[in-house]
Amino acid sequence: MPANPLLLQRLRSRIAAIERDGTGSPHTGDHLAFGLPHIDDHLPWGGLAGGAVHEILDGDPRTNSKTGCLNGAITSFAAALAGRAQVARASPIVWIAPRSDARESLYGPGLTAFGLDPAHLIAVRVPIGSEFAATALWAMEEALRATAVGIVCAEIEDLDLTASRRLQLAAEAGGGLGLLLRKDEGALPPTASVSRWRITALPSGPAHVAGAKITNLPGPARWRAELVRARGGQPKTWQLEWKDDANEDHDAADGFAVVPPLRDRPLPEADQGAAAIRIALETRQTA
Amino acid sequence: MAMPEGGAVRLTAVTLAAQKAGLSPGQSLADARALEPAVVVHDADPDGDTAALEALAGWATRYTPWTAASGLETGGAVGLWLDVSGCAHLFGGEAAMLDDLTGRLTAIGYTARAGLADTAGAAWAAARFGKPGKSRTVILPAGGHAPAIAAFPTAALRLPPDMLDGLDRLGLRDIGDLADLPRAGLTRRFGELPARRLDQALGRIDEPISPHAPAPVWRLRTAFPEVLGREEDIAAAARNLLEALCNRLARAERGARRLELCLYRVGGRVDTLTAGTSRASREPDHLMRLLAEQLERLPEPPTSAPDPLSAAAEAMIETLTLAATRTDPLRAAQVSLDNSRDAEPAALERLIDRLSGRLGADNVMRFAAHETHLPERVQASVPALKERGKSPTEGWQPPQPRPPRLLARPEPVEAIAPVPDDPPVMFRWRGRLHRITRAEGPERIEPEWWRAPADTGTTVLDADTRDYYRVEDADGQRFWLYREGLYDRGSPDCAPATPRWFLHGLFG
Repeated sequence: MPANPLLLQRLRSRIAAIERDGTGSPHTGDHLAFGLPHIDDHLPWGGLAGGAVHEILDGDPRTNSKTGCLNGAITSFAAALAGRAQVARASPIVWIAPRSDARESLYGPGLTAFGLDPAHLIAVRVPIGSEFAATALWAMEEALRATAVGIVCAEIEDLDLTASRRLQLAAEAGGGLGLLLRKDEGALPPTASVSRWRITALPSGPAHVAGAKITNLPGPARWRAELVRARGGQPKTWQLEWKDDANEDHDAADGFAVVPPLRDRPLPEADQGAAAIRIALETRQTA
Repeated sequence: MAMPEGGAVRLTAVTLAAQKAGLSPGQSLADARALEPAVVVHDADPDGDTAALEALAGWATRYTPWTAASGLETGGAVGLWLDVSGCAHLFGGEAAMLDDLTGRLTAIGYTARAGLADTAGAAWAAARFGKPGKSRTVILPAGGHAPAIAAFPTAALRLPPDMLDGLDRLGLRDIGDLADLPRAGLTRRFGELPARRLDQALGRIDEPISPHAPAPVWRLRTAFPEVLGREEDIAAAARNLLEALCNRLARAERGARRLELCLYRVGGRVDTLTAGTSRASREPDHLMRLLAEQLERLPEPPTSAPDPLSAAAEAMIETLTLAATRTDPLRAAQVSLDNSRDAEPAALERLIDRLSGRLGADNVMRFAAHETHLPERVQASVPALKERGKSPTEGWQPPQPRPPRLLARPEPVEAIAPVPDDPPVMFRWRGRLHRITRAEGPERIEPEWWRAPADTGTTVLDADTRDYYRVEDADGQRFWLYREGLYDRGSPDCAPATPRWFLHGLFG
């Protein structure tokens, strides 16, 4: 007889509450589901736990402090989660990032593609300097304590165990959901975050234009999502794809989709080349 | 004090001791040295004097919100105007107030005399020419200023020195002499100034004086019997003021948008803390948190009973004023039945207020969409403190895919594009080589020629046509590249000199 999912969920929440010395946050059940049974059933909380901080590492091995920016894959993955939180919690998002004129910044028209409404995003910019980490952590703590915020994303690199514990306590107190966007620089010190993910860009699948699959156009965004660590859960890796309405393999609703393990894919044929690209673009525009 | 003037270095101000030795302003420094070889000379700093006097005018707002610097332009000793109408009783009467004022100024190193009268002119005269008591203050009784100033010399009328010399030659030495003269003759001889000053001193005509700063309506003040140093004490005192202010705002159905907390220190320094709110508020808890953020960042207060002459003692705080410098109408709070829906936006605004208070309003932003083709102009940032975030969502839907991250400035990349009007096959950005496996484009974006050059903003590098490509490299990373300019522009053989490629965004 299959287990009742509701019962399982309730038991998991109770275990989680016991694990936190009985001071279970009232928001424990307020998790953020991926909308994918593959992942949600694997995670002990039925999604990303609410009242908790999760880390998302930039899995690109060549991203380092020198190149100075987080790549688009981690941004879009976080944006997709934030967009889900925006809808599920009907609350705006706070995104904390270093302030620098030379750096990249969030771009609203691109965020909409991942289901995030830029009109309900509060961008907090922290001046770069010796006090950056302290100020950014303070801002994140404040945002996590505020009940009116759906999700808090923060690009903070320097994080020790004490600081992450403070963030975790703030999240438990306010029921906030925090995402820490960090670079994966070798041996990261242990943190109190509830889960840690590593996100890497993957070559996309075929693009769907007017019902045809075209392999030399960039297809929907793909990520390798590695669950590196989860409190009370097992590590696992998935290949995810972002499905939107341009991608006709799926239903109209935007969301994550699991991609079967990568097979050998035929290389784009050389003779199709640029002509095919332009034809494809024209068909897309007329479609 | 001395400064160069007309080829000679002349004294501009002298101390009391130097005055006794026969020195006076206007003397050349050589004469002064002959009279008193031991004279100590400092460079005069008129700008510094003006600034110091302005600061002192700010300091004096502890007594009345209406203060102004005087003297630098009127001649004679510099001074401050204070309109204390209706304020004196707060300090135990006029005499006690003036004693307090001169006492405090003496304590912080100024030699000061105070005069109080029904008119500004008479008060000016009383402060400088009255016969002061022990405490260096002269109070002319209400309605009694006319006979009192009649005995003062004509110099008490704030007249220029050459005019005083002329009056003196005619034997007119007292204000009383001048007041008895027929006006017509006086005006013919000396212009209208003496008559006007006389009328101002006697209160026959008004004398407008611009105050140091406009007086806010919502202003409360508290003075401490003992100076405060500990941050908690100051916070508690500020909190009391805030509660009183919020009560007054509630009665008037208004809420504060901007608060100003002034800390008056023993040494004469005034620290002003300001806090803004995204919408009118009169919740003491919330407003106090905003001020507390700023209080926390003040210099470390002295720990315990410091030496009375030390710098720490001068930093102790003796008076606080709290003002709502901007208020908006705010109706009485309506408690919603389910007690949750209305609480949420308020919680968000409180968060915005706190973040803005510490990081600055221009670091807590909301995005607003603009109708334009230029990618860098589509998104504008507005301080969340100002914008209530009700901007429409429609403007955000781009006709073509856009990256979730845009570089503040497009960065030039080395790209290899063998075929004109084709995407590059590889490019190098920030030292990394990216081999392109998939590409989509071009999407041509023309410059907005109808905008005046001044209006094109700072991020538009060049008003040239751009062909954008969405490319994916072998690792699956995606970028937004563009080529600037057209291939068929310029040379007749359709080959441009060097097409320039830029990276403008990072795709997911």
